[in-house]
Amino acid sequence: MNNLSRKEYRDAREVLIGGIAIFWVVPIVLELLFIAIGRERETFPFVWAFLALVGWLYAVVSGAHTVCRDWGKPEEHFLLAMPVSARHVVWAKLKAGAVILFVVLLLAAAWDFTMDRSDMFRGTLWHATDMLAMVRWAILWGWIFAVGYVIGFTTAIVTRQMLASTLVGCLTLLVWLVAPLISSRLQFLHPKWWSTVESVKSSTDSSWLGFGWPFVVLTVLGLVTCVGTTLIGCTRERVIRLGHKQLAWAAALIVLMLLGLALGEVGNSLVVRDQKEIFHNENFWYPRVLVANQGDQFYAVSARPISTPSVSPRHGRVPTIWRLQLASFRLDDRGRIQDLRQADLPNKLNEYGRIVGLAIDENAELVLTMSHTTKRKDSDNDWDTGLLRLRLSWPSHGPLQVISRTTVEPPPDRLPVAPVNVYNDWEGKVSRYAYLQERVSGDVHDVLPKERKLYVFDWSDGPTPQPRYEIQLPPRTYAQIYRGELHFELSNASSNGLRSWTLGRPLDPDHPELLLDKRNWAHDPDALPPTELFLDNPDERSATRRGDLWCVSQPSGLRIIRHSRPHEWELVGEYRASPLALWFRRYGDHQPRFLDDSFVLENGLSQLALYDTSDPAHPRRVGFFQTYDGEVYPTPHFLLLVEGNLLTVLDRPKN
Amino acid sequence: MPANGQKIFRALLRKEWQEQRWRFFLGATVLSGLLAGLLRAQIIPNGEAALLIYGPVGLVMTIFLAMGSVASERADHTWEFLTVQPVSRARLLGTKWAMGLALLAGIIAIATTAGMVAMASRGFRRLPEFEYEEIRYRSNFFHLLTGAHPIQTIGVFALVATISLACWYTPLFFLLTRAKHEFTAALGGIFLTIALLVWLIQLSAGASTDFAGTVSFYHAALSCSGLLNPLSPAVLGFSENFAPFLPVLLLAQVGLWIVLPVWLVGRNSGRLIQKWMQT
Repeated sequence: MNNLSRKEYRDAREVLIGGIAIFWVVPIVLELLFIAIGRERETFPFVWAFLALVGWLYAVVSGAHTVCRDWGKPEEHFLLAMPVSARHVVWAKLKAGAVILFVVLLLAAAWDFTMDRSDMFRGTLWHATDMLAMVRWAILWGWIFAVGYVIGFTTAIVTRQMLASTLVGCLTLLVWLVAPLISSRLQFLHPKWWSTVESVKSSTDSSWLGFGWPFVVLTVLGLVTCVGTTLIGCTRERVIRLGHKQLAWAAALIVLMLLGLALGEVGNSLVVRDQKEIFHNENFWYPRVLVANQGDQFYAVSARPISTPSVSPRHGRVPTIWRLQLASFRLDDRGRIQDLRQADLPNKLNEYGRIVGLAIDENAELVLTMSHTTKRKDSDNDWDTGLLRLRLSWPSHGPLQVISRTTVEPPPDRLPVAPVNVYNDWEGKVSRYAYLQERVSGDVHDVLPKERKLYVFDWSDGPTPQPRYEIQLPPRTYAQIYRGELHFELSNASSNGLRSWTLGRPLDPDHPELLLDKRNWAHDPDALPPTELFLDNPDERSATRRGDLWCVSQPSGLRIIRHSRPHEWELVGEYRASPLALWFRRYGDHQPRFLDDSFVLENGLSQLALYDTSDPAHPRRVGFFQTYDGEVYPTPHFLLLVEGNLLTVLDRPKN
Repeated sequence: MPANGQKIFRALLRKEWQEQRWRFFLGATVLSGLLAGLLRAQIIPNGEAALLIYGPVGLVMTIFLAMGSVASERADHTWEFLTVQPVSRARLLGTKWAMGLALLAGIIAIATTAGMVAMASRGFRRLPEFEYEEIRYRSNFFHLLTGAHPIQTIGVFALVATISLACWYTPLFFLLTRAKHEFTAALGGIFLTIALLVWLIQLSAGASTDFAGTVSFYHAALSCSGLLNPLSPAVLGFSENFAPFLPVLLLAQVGLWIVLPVWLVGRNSGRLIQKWMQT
């Protein structure tokens, strides 16, 4: 050890004593208190907490103090007058400070490691941390401390100011920690294993102990740059002084930058072209509004109960009276809502509930399909749900008229039935056939241990069509129509009570004759990507496909999967939501759908998002909008967002 | 005032501008960035975004402008140099106060303009009205502005916020002249503002009723005391019941918190100020 190093170690006594007091004495006292009280290893590791919370600050202050205790003061000139170069002096300082930091923090961590591993401190409630996880955390925090120390040291060499060096170091570490939590684009700044959601990639990536090469390379480059700057900067007499104005500006700009990142992640990015209430006196939250269009002419319909059910002593349940409201409007080239007209359906409808479909047929007639609930004769508490179809005419200068009404009702003296349409889905084209299936209770998805029947009706068979087909489904199988496709799902109940579903190949509902061949509704192993390729729990409604590309959209993000051959699935690319964005995403059905070859529209419960997947390896989010349980209807140039009775026209991003 | 009083006053104003303009630019950048960013992002209703920015951030700006003007002069010992100029201490303080007030109004005006431009660039969006009371409360926090155009919402907010913050800036500025360093002034500003907010809470305490549903004398006294708070227009002005009285309340606050302190300082110049500032 040369004289310079000896001097530095002697001068660093304050830092050493401070570090020992913070990281050794305080945790030891607390840990011993815990042991004295219950001989139970604490579930809250104090040393780790101290290291994580103040270790980085200690490292930055230590780096700045190592320089500023004599550098920038009259002692600097005294030191430089010695027969050693400035680089030697600075290098001795850097080494001495690093050793002190290493000794303080390493011994503290070793103490905690001993307690974690030793049987003497381990009670019944404590389980030792996984060794790999512990090593990863130790390396990460050690790395953060090293970076903080070097930044503080370098800034002190350049500025000769304690406050400025500490602030710059703290701000840099703040950005390093917070920016990846805010922005999905900057997640490479965090180690790969430090992911909020395990994925196939992150859990199997073992390069650099799971840290990933971008993290390692970037931080090493930063470290080398800092040390280089230190060694070059120490020989120059020119000092960059940072006054309180500059520091205030730096802090303000960093806060604004972080806010900008956050708002870029969760703020709306789609331009609002127009907004109007399309129905009168409608309160948001209850009614479901469906929209259909023919060119630039749009129609919207809403059904709302205007009396609530109550119990009548003579007739049991009093039927709910529903009111149907329709609106017609046009969209001009700039996305403005024009020629808005509103109309109530001439008569109120009893016991008709949910709107299932709205479409325009080849005669420019509006075809409205609704579910239709009637009480069963054999039971006061059970009911059948059929379907009602109305054909409506609404000329541009005339009143709304009902042209025809068709009711699909279950055959008499059978089990209760319900439509196969998925609750939050709708029919966007005029279907020829209606499907009802038997159910046990209110939920058609209930697992029927027995076989159930599927009834197929032809809408063109007069006002009250009879079943064209009666198809016996095997036990635990039910049908559902989603996105214009007929799916069959088989419920697999395991011994521990968990249910899983396997899917059949989707069929065209306009060809019910295909159902006569049992092979067509058998289980298809390729109907959905394998479970391990989903980010969260697999759900058939979180996946969509176009050609051989599948898109899986879930709260944690979006994945593009290629399915070019049977049983072969390849993960092509993914977009991962940042931890901040996860706060704004609600769990539930995200309903992804391909709009064209490039764009995927995701309509979650609290937001809609557009992703550009023209490069499937790198899907990116190109549009975002916070919604309140709204439905989205894409047009070639705009996106129509309907939230209750409020219609918002949004710009649709271009290719 | 000597014959060249106006000249001295203008010179003092120029000096103040040159010393304080960095605060103006920094404040305008921060407030504009925050407000414009939040309004453009549309993740919360416009009224709430405005309240969030004009409220806490506006108060920080008020402290920031009130703390530095005199304390920095005293720390640098240039205050003594100023006081030997042929101009009264009241005049000196008045000039500094006026410049700070102008900067505060300027910052809010720039931020409001930036917010409006940001809103227009994204298109104006109104959130849907909710059926349930608790959700409606979340959506339309300010009943006065329900259904109003977003520009009108922000404009009204900015006006009320400017007057309310000016009402707090004035007493804070004169109180902080006692501080000898900026750090002391900043701490004093923070503690006084916390006390102000605690006082403001009395408004909501006073608005509550007892078990029988009647308003007690104690609650009425709390409410009246809360009305005197300089920030009360920003809170009360947007309730349906109080909206018609907003202009009256604003005028009363201006009289109480701006005109009266300035008049008192002008009238009791000299020894009283010297005694307060311990110079």
